[in-house]
Amino acid sequence: MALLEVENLSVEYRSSSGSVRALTKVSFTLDEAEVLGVVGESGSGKSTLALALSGLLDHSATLRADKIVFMGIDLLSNIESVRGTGVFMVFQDPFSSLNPLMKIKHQIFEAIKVRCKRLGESFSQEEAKKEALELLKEVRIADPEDVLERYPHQLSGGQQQRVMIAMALAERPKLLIADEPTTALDVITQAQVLSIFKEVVKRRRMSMIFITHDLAVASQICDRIIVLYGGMIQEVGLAEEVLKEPKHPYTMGLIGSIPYKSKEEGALTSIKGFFSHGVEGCVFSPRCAFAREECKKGVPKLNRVNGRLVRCINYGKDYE
Amino acid sequence: MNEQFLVVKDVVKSFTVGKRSLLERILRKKVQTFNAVDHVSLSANKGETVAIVGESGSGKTTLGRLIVGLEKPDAGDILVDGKRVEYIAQRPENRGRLQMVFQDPSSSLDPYMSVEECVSEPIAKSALKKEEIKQKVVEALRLTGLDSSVLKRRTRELSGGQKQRVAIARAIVSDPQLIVLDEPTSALDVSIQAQILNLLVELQKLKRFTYVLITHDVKVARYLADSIAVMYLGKLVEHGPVKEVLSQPLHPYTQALIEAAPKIGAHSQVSVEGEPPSFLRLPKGCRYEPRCKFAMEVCKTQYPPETFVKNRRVWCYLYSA
Repeated sequence: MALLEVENLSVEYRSSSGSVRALTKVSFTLDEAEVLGVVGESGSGKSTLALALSGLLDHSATLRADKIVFMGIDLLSNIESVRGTGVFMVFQDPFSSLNPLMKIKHQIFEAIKVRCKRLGESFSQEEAKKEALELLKEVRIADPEDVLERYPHQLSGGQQQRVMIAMALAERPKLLIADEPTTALDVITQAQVLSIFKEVVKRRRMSMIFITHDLAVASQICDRIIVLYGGMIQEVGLAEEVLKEPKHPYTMGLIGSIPYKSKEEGALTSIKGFFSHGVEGCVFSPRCAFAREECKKGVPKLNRVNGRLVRCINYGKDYE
Repeated sequence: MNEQFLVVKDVVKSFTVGKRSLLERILRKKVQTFNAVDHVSLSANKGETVAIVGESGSGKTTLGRLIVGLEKPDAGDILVDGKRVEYIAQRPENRGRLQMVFQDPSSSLDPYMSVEECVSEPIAKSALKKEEIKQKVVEALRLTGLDSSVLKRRTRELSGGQKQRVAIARAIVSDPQLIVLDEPTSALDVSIQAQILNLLVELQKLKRFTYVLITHDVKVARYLADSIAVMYLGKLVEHGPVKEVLSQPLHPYTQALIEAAPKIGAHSQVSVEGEPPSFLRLPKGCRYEPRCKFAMEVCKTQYPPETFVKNRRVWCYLYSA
């Protein structure tokens, strides 16, 4: 059974200059112990998706959906009930997620306390300390005793992100939503943190929604990938297949844009232009290398092609 | 070998740590300093790109700022076309000969300025007439793929990719000899990154600009650079032609850096554990020794000497015979 089911999720932001649609009718399911990658560029709506699922959208946003069901709980009516306990979110910048005035120790204790309250366990300082040390070891912090006594600013970016993962684990969530968790880190640290994510998700049979703009990072950790563009799902499929043989022109362009050669070998294939709102028909058509008249007629339906979903009229001429 | 266009000779730049309190100043307590750039030498030919690659805190940006004269070196020389950078930077007639493009165009461009004001700024004080300046601005914008309809727009109204194009136009409008590109694409989306990289290569072919590319991304360096210098904690660890260094890295740190970069279709390895030490607690010998899997006794005592392996320089006892 699916852990999370989302049907026709749309989010709109209101501002003084009118409203902008960040997500349009996004539907997907997530299985237990599955890692789902959400790949997209800025403005694709990927962060909005993360915020919507953890109930952290701000007041200027309106959420509409036919169904968001997580572990049998209807999130549309009571999203607060799962945040932090069933769903935990890890953000891009760990330093702004941690409280700068609290020692790491107390921040992890707080997470443990919340869990104890939820599960009706009793909380004791000594037990909590033991557990905190275990958690820090699990995220491969070399000197956990020392780190517990420190303040966030005394830690490196990689250590801060590990502490965030440790706090997530303290809550024992079923679903981890990670929004660009390695983007602010250096390459070597990024590889380390990615491998920690991979390990803990596998060991604890957690599900994860991993949001990133970097296809190469997504390929390291995801089972399945959703490609978002302009707030709409453009392609869904197994990570390996999508990356090896992309079907949507946008996915193709994204993969082609990654520089894997030298300048002597010629120009990079790039996607022309830039993202703009208010496009008629297929949102990607103004930048698409294969765009035709028909693309402007309407928004193409998500077509099923060999176990994959692709929103492009090259794979079926139905419109929504 | 003919004369190199850019020569960085044994450059040192140190920064002080924190501030001394009044009492500490009265007691003449010594200021703690560290070398962000520590005896670095490199060179590049005209019309070529040298990439400086490293992680945050490696000193790569400081080196870039030294090369355009935004910082003064504490020791050593930086020569561009045979002239010292401080000399070039001081002379009004040389204004704009050295240029820099920064990582984040949203913060390097004034959001309230129009594109025209922004791009013309480097040549506004020159002896050129108004029409000539305008002509140059339009030409620079054309070269960067923007048409003159953007002239009157404010830079904050533009998209990220367009802003970076304006930043590049601003850098090339003064006919520079050398441009330091500090992470020119890392704030941009992948699809826009490819556009900007293509643009930079086209401009270099057309105008024979010499680029100093500062990046943490090995892929960007591979595409844009002719030679590559890898920095770790203020020191060079390896320097050589980009193809050779990236296909067959010699220094263990270069190897780790390349292995850690995620690639589609191949699982990257955790190449090294741990993180670089602080500048204030540097190891006595090789700075990479505490994390290096090949570390030997000798690595702990002294920084390895410069060793030539074919046309490459590497600082590692594995190669110093």
